[in-house]
Parts: sequence; C-alpha cells; structure tokens
Amino acid sequence: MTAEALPMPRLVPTPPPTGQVEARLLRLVERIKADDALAFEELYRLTRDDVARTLFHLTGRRNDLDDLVQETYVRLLRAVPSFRGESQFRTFLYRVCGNVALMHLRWWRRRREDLSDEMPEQIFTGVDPERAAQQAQATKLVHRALETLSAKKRVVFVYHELCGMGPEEIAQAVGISYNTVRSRLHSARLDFTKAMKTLVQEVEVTS
Amino acid sequence: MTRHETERLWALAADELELDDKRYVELHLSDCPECTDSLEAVRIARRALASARHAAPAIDWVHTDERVGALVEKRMRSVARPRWFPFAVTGVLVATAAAVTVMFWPSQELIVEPPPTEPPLVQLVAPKPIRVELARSLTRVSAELEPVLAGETLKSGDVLRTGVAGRAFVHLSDSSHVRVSASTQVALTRAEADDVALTVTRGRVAVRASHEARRSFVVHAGDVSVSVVGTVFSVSNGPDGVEVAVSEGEVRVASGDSGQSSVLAGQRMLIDPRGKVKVRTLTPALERELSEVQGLAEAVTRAEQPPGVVVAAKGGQLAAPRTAPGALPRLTPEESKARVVEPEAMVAPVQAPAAMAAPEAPAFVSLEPETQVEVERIDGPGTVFPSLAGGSTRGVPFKRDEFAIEAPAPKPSAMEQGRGPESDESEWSTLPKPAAAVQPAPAPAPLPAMLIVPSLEPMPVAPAPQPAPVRTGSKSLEQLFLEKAEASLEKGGCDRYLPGLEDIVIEGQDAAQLARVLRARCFEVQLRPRQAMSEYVKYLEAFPKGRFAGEARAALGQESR
Repeated sequence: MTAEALPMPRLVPTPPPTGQVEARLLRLVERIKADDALAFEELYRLTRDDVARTLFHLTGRRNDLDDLVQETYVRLLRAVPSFRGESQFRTFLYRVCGNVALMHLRWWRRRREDLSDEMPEQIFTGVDPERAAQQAQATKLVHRALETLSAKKRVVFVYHELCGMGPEEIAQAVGISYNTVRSRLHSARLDFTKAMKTLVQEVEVTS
Repeated sequence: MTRHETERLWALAADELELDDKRYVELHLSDCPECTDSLEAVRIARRALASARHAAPAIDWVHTDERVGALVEKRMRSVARPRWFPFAVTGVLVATAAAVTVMFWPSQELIVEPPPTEPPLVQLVAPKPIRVELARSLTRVSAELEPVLAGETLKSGDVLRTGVAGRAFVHLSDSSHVRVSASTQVALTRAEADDVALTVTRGRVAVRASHEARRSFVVHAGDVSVSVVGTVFSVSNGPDGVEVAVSEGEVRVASGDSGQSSVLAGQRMLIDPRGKVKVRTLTPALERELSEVQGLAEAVTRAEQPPGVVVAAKGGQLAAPRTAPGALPRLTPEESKARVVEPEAMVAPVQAPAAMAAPEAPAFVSLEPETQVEVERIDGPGTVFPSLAGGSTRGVPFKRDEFAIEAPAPKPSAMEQGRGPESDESEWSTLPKPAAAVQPAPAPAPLPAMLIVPSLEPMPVAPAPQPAPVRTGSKSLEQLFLEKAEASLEKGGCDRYLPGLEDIVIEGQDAAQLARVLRARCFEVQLRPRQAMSEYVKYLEAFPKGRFAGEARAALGQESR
C-alpha cells in the first residue's frame, strides 16, 4: 500500500464549550473590566492550576514556573480589556500562556544552558507512590522529548496532546491558520515519536 | 516508512480515523512489520503523554498567590488613579494660547475682569469615612495581612478577612452598615457615598443598607449579584452556593444562570453552584444576624445625631441621661416596655451649678431617650433570650461576644469639669438595677449613647471613659449569666444559654470551668448524651484537676479520683 493510497487522517475537532465554567469565566471577565479586583482574584483561583500545568508542559524543565505564572497573570490583567468574547476565554488564556512560554523558551535557548537538572518536582494526586514515580518518569521523558521540538511546534503539540485543544482552537490561540496547525502538529508528532523511541531505548539500555 | 504513514499511525493510535480509513491502515499494518514497530513506538509515546497530561508542577502557591495578589492590587490602583497628565498638558496648552492671544490683541484696551464668582450651589461636605465599628480577628488583605482595629478607617478597594472566630462591623460612607461574619472575605470594591459594591469571596455579610439616594448598592457573591434599594439582608458565599436572606424590604438577585428574581422580606434564596435556585423562609439564626445589624445601625444612627442643647433652669434639675450601658440596640420600645424602668424613675436630681443657670451655660449633650434594660427580668417570653449584656433579644440567643458600639463621647464641658469627682465611672460600670431596687442615679454623668457589650473594645474616637467590666452589684455579668444558666437547668430552656456559655469557655476566663460543665449538664437535661460526654471530655482535657473533674469523670464512667 502506498502513502498516496492511504486516507489523510482527520484531526480531533474542537471540544464543545465548557458550559458553566466558561460562562462563569466570562462573567468574571466583565467584572474585571469594571475594575473589580476580587473578580480577578477569583479568576486566578479558578485557572491557576490549569495555567501552571500548561506552562509546565510548554516550558518543560524550568524551576521558575512561579515567575511564569505571575507573568502570565500580569499580562492577562493587561489584556483582559481587549477580550471581546469572540473566542472562548480559555483560548484567550492559552494564548497569553503561549506568549509567555514562547518568550521564555527563546530566552532560555539563547542562553544555551544545560537544563537537565532543573526538572521541578511534580505532584500526582490520588495515585499510589509507585504509580506516581512511573508517572514522574514518564513526564520527564516527555519533557525531554519535547525539548527536541522547535518552540512553535512544541506549543501546537502541547496544546493538542496535553491540553486537549482542538485544531481550530489552537489556530485561534496561536494566531495561525488551521492548515498551519495541522502541518506543525503532524511534524511535531513525527519528531516527538522519534525522540521518545530514542529515549526509551536509552532507558532500557541504562536499566 | 514515510512521514505521512507515521501521521496515519498516530491517527490510528489516537482513534482519529474513520472506520474505512482504519481498515485500510490495519490492512497495511498486517503486511508491514516496520509499520507495526512504528505503531508500537507511537503507542509508547502516547502512553507517556497520557501519564504526563495530569502532572502538576509543585509550586509554592502561598508565595505565588501573594505575589499575584499584590501585583493585581497595584495594577488596579494605578487604573483607578485619575490620569492627570493629559489634562495638565491640555491646560498648559490652553493657558499658553490664551497668553499669546492677550499679548497680540490688536488695539482695544484690555480690561481683564475677574470672572464672576458664583456661589457654590451645593455645599461640599467631606464624605463620611468608612469606619470599622468592631473588629475581632479582622485583617486587611494586601501584599501582607494587616490587622485592622476598631476605629480604623477603610477605603474603597480594601479587602477584609475575618478569622475563624472573628467578626466585624463596618460603617460605610453611605450610612449603611455591614456585619462581617467569621471566616469571611469581603472586598469593598466600591464604597463611595453614592455607589457601593461589595464582593463576598467567602463567608457571610449582613447588610443594613441606608435609604440614602445613590446610584447603586450591589453585593457580588460568585456569579450572583444582589441589588439593593434600602433593606436588611445578608449574602453568604460558600461551597454549597450563594444564599441571600432578607428580613426587611426586597432585593433583586441576578444570577448568570437563572436570570433575575426578587427575594422578599422573610425569604432566603439559595443558589447552588449549578445555578439551581431554591426559596425558603428565614432561619432563626439568620433572623438573629439580621436583627443584630439592624439594631446596630439604628443605634449608631441615633448616636450620630447632632446633639441638642439642654439648659437647666435656674435652680432647676437636670435630667440624667437616660441611656446607660446595658441598653440593647435591637430592642424596640414595645419590646422594652415589659422590662423597662420608667424614665422618670431614673431622673436624678442634680443641683445645677450656678453657671448653668445662665442662658450661656455650656451646652450639654442631650441624648435620645433610651430604654433601660432590667437584668433581673432576664427571663422573657419564649422567644426572648437573655444576653450577657443584660438585655434580651428575640429569635435565637445572642452570643456572649456581642459587642458595643460607643458613640463619640461628648467633650467634657466646663460644667462637667467643674463637677469633678462626681462624674466618676460608676455609671459606666454599673448596669441598671432591678426595677424594684431602682434608685436615683447618684450623679448625672453625661453618658454617651452606648450600645452594649461586655467584652467591648472601646473605639479610640473620643476620650470617653473606659468602660469597666459590666457589673451588677458585686457580681460580674459572667457570674449573673452563669447563675441564670444554672437556674435554667431546672426551669428548662437552658439551650438558650449554650452559645453564651461556649463563648465564656472560648475566652478562657475564670468562669470557663463552670461554663463548660453547665453546657454538659444542659445537654444531659436535654437527653443529648453524646454532646454531654463531649463537653465532659473537653472539660477534663482543659481542667484535669478542675473543680468539676470528679463529676466529669463520673459522667464518663471513669473512676473519680
């Protein structure tokens, strides 16, 4: 069977709006626009775990995640007045996360430092210690594999594979076309699979 | 294997292929061992991704929360600050243009007349400050938690937080009053004289909104916004949702999920996190909270009324101020009649100093006639409960830590100063005596309007005499309360004393031992053995060698030492 004979895969469509959570976020945004500091605090409480996890996956082995979280919310506070409700607020939030992460990724890569020892501690709630250790090991491998991707591919790949965003939503969040998302995603998958295969083989040889 | 085939393998592993496509790929895999290996690699990668998906980095959230909170506050302040720069630039340009025009004006003689000064149409009055009337375990949330004391002023934008055993009363600029319950965080988002917005992040606030004209009075709690016209209501925000209770007037509740509706007096509306709305009647506890804030508001309003002038006639008598410590703000005149000493009975004959006979005698603060609460008649009808302050209230019993709000005491006048030691603190420290034993007050000390409270923290707003512990005769109020509570064990109705007893225990006073045991006995009387045992256990933990240790051990089935 040739490659041409095979059908092109479709991408997972954008998940439906998150209903009440999204509606709640939108109401908070309206209050933030009216300079309600408490609304922003509530928004922060609602989204901080998601933001931290996304930044963790986007930037990988960084110990300054709290700085990135802070930077994200400062930018978000500045950007909220420009949010017009044309997309989901989650998309808007991921866009801010992505910008912060991209900036830091580029900055770190310019420094060309070995970051292998900077893997932050991870938390897996609700699992037994053995399973948690396996998950931590898997996360470490994933992040090492993600390091092989370019920043642009990494953002698209993380959004799709780790944050569960659909291609249309990613296109909105990153500000690129749907086809570019497809292209970057497929390329990232190829690179990631290769990197993971190598890493797994290394682990097997070491053990 | 080509790149496109890898994409399809990933799509197969991700179950993104249509059924027909899936068959094609599976058919290909059966003939291609290389692709099978690649598929396995894809599956390993996806399994690793699935594991990593839920990984959360360990972040010091306490530190991060504080930093983000401080930054947000700073940002919000800068947004709220008026941007004077553009106006200043505009003003400078206009002034320059005017100066140039004047300099190059053709020929006429310039007569620069000062612009007619129009009298201000509205006399500007400084807005009332937002004042903390009572603060117990109250902090202001900013970059750091700052303790807030009674008498401090707040500003719009402040975020207040009460501790587990905290509470606070705040007097807003628009003459509204807010009671902040324990474990509550509330933001004074906008607290202007004509526009009030409070945001209850968690806990409960009870509000007595004034009837002054204003743009809006809104309380936000989660998704719910409560709009007020002039009423007494409370809003709580907790894990079970938002509750809006109204005891007077009507409020409009806007919820994003359920639209807008009204809550009338005597109703409470529950909006759960899913947006489901239930309307119920007020609970006694809520009634108590709301009557408390209502009473407080009325008392403060009375205390803030401008003092009148009372001039004693020559050789005449000056009535003693009728307000005394022990007057409950929440009592209406009708409620008070049953246990009120007639004001006339309290009139104290006083020889006015000669200076007072003259028309220009120093002004003497006249206070509103107040009810005199009789401690000995503490057992009221079934719905009237005693309070340690010597008064009583309806609904459920008041807790012992009810506070007092003292109005700014009148400045000592020449008359008062001349009276010397006669104006001692006895009237501050003595509760009104029982009706049968009412004696004229020994000296007419000008008392400030005062709301009750045994454990009060006097506000530093005026050099008022420090209220000494309220005593009746030789007994302290706690002792009286304990006696009443003990007597109620036989008479029945001891449950009304339970909260007050608990408060005595919490404050760890000398009477704590007896209070704890009385709680245990009360539970025994009420056939609630589990609670009684719990009280005895707590007693033994706190006082293993206490006076009632034997009784407690016996009740717990332990050998009495």
